[in-house]
Amino acid sequence: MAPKVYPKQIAFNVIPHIDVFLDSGDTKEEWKMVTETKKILDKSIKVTATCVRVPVFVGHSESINVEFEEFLDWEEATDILREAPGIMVVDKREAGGYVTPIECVGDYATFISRIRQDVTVENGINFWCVSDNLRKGAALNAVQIAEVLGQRCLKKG
Amino acid sequence: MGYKVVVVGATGNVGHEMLNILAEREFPVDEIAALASRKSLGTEVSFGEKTLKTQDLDTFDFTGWDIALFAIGSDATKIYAPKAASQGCVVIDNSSLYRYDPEIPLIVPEVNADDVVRYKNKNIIANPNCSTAQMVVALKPLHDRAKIKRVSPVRKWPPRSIPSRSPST
Repeated sequence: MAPKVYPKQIAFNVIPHIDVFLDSGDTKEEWKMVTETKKILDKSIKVTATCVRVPVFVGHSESINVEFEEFLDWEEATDILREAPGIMVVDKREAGGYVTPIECVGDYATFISRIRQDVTVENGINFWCVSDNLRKGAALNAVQIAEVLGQRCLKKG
Repeated sequence: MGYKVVVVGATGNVGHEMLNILAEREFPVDEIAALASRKSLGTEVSFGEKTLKTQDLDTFDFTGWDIALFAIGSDATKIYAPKAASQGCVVIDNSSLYRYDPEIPLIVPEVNADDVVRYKNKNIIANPNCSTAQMVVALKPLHDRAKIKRVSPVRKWPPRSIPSRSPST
């Protein structure tokens, strides 16, 4: 059977292509991630991404590799993430001790698992990050913006 | 006392979730309007315990409304977001249309909530791409501690062919 929705079969497969291709060889989706991260967090951060479509119903999963200016121990990184707003760390170094996209459906949190040192660079950390794309990725974030706007800027009633 | 809130694209996946989340988080709503395109006019949507009948986006007057949450495609947003903004209603837009405009703040509240005051530039605030939002929430506290030089994520997305829950904006 020939694929109809995507250029290649999606069932039992993964496709390294989301949105249109740019001259650089990146896709637009990858460009969005680079550009938006700089605008929201810090324009000096370098980002390189690969976006892959996978056959799950809900949730975005990200395998993230970060290189820091200063050394950050994985245990301290875990403690920092445990205290951070909007984050839920689920990270037992054993079978099943991590979050998969099917478990994040309908949740507000961004789940972090698999936090570990990347010893191939001076100050590296790897982790796994999963969230419901309709919640933190869209509707929840919009409502949170409305909450901040209401509290700080608008008059009630 | 609360706010007069409009959800634009109330019959879509994201608009539907916006209504759910406003109700779940008990956002202070005095009045709520659910707008949709003419073809889904009259469709009913739920807001907490209530049922709302959708109204026509094309003829809606945003004057007197405080906040409009937009969850429609970029092409329609281009027409209706400036209209709402010029009628004095603050637009929070989920499309990618305004995200890269330097005048318009792009906000993830856990990261850059202070930028919200810049809504005044155009009466519009942009909501980021779904994967950017979850990533920066995780990166922010680590960046504050050890300053990030470089990030390389591999992101895995659900297929768009499954109609229930997979916006790509």
